[in-house]
Amino acid sequence: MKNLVKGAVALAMLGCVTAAFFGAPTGLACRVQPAATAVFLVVLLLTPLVGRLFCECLCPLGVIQSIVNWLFHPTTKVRRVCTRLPETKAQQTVRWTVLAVFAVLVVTGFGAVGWFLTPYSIYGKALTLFLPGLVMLAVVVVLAVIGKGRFWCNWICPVGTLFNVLSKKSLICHKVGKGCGNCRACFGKGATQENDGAGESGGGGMSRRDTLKGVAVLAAAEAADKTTDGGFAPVSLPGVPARPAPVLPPGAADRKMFNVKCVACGLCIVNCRGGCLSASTSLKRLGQPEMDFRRGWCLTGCKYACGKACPTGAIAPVERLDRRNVHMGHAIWKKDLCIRTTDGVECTACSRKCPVGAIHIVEGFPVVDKGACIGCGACEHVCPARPMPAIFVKGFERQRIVWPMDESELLAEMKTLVAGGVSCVAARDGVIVGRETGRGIKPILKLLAEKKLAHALVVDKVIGRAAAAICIVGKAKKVHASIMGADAALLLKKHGVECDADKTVPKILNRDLTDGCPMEQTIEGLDDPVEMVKALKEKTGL
Amino acid sequence: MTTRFTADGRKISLLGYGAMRLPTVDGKHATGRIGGKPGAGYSAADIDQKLLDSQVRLMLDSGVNYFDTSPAYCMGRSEACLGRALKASGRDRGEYIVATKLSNFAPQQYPLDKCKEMFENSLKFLQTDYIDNYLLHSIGNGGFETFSKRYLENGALEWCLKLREEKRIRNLGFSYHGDPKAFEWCLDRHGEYKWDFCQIQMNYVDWLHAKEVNERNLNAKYLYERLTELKIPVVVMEPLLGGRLARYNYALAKELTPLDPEASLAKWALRFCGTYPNVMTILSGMTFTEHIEENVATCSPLKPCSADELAALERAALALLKLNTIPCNSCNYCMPCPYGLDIPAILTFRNAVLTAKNFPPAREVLKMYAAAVPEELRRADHCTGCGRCRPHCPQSIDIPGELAEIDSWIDALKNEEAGR
Repeated sequence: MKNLVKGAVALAMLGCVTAAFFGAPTGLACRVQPAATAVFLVVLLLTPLVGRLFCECLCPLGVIQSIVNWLFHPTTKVRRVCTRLPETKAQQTVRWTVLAVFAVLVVTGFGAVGWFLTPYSIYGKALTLFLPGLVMLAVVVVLAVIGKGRFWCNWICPVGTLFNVLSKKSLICHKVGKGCGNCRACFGKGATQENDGAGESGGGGMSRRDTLKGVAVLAAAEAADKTTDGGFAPVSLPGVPARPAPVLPPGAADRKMFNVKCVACGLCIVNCRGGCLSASTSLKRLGQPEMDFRRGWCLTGCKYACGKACPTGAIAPVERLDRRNVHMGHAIWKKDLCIRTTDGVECTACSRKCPVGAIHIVEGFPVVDKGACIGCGACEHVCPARPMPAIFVKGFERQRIVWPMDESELLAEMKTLVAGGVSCVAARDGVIVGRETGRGIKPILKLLAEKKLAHALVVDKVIGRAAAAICIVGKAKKVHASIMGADAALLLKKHGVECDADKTVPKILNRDLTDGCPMEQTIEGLDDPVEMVKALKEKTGL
Repeated sequence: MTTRFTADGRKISLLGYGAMRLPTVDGKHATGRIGGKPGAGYSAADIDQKLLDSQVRLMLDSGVNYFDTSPAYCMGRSEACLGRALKASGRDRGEYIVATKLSNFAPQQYPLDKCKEMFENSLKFLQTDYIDNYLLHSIGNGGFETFSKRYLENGALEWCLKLREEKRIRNLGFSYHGDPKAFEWCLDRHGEYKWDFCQIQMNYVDWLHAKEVNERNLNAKYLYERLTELKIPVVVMEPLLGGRLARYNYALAKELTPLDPEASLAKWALRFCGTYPNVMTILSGMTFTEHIEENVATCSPLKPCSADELAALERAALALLKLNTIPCNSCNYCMPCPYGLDIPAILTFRNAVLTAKNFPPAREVLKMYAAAVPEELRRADHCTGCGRCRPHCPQSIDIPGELAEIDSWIDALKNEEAGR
């Protein structure tokens, strides 16, 4: 009966962990795992009473070893006793050496490698098909077959060592009498266990992810124009830029703390909705998640799937914040790599893709507004430069949380911006999503083209009927202007857009104040905002 | 097979073959897309010569005798493949009519000696010593200035007239897309040049609504009437709008099916064009044998549309316009994009979503996108906005603008999905 319960619990726990890697809801399954700190403490306290229930029932690697034993050695019934048996010198040497190495690694900042010896890390890495993880799992299984027991738990795993010590005097477990001569006959056939397992620790060699480096460069625009139709230019993935600092998942607030707390289980990687998290190959962060923007970027609509999946709290769940409030890093642009330099073409890919409007094309150069950039990597993902992207994200040492502002704060901030020379700002969900400088109607038309006006709070220097029509077409929520035409206010109200102004004037004048504004004249007599915007676009050629 | 007459009095089949979408060995298209599913078809693989041979033989047996190609089609492979197929059919040269074009689109092809070289190559590839119908290719593309550079300033038009005198080409005409000024210029000088035919984009949508699709266009009705007035026979291109009028589409089917429940949408579109007597031939880029069989059946003989049917077609056209689809006919003139994008696949995918009866949910749309453009690096977000595709588009689509719009739409869907 006891064995049956143990077996059921063991299989359930293994199932939970495994399922979490294959798309099962991660919430509950992860919270009951001992990898979560609170659960771990409970297990720790229970161990002196009931023995090594962690290795036996809870740990995925422990359960796997039990299954392997059951398959390969169905007759060795009293395996469990082995941990109570007097230990051989060799066994002790291995165990304490491994623990010492582990401790040294953690203390010297190579914790990520150290974690590599721990069960959740190995299992997670193996399930995410990270090569060193697969190698380690294979080692564990082979040792279990050779050693006829949970060899890994007993002699190598640092966590196992901890529980081993704690369970030495546990109340409910098999006892070994004083007369035991360590003959190991109780251990079944092939009893004497020679252990040459020393030196089994460590990773199975690093796999280089950068195999893509040096792949054929994207065919740059040909010098002569094309003469026939159809066909494809070759494409290749970019290389991994030499990032000055890695970009960590949103919520991994402090790089050093994250490095210590993350056990590299890989759950965040399989749960990443943008497809941009991948296992690090750097020695200090081996297997820990970091952003690789070649396959995707950190989606602003994501509700922190990585943080929700994280069992150790290394990635803090910050669900109540909008994704745009966590700044993970900022983008850096390199002129020499940009296709504006290499191919001599006008490229606007990064600026267009930016979900927070932080990249502006100024005099033909992309300029990153580092205060607005959230480090999501969308620009890096779409950058056409090869072999390296010309714009890439540098991760912050400490991620910055930019709290969502309430409307009055936001309005004040936007007014300051406008007073400081920005001509038009749009904000949504408590964050500024777009800002444009320039004269006349073009800045706001640009915001419209970039779809930054939808449900947005818009602040502009001057709003006449022309700008009002643009706000209506762009479905703005609220419009504020330093100077607003009276007819513009009427138009906005007619279409259900809230508006107010520092100053209302009967008519918007041109720049020299000699006549009416030419834009206002363009749409004179029109009443439908859609038609008005069409006329304005024609007039400005945008 | 219904037949009509060319300017020099030869019998010509009402159905013509456009060699722009030849079949490839991997069962797809050499240019453009096919079938209902976007992305199912485009391929740069080798052209399936064996299949093409049998198709050409089938067409000749069914009475189709007009074959239209260009040096630019199918990455430049169309002429040679068509030439081989015609040769393999074993027919006399006089039994079929071959049309090809002076496709000097790139500036390095403007000089007259390059044009001459292109013509000689056409003869060589088509394995013949004369061309029946020779066309100035897409005269309005890129504006009147480009037209002038391509044909007037370099003396190419004069040289073509001379070729006609020498009987190395039998008929001279032009195909028209783009700047109306080029079209009017040519027609105003009909007395001087004596155009033997003219190729225009005509179908029941462009008949009255080409201008709505794009300000710059001229309605097909105007073009047709203007040409008829001058007694210039009309060759119809894009009768099916690159398959947009042939693929199942609820908006079209709703208007047309009640009148003839068994008729395919393609049949309707061909019948529309054939109704007009000055249409000499209707070109269709029939990739698969089944396309040929169906279209041959429609044209043998072609039943002209009644007034009621024309009214229904007009209603269908209006219904299609309401969907605001992108007027891309997958002609692939924009390809290859220097940055590797699969432009026609992206635009066709957008149209497929717009023409679905019920707008699909986000997850479904993202799946469709992945199926239409399997390689991520060829999707819309990788557009640099360099605009090199723009002058090549015969439909004057603002390609970078459309791609940007599609990408922001996809991003919104992705974020919606990620937020679940």
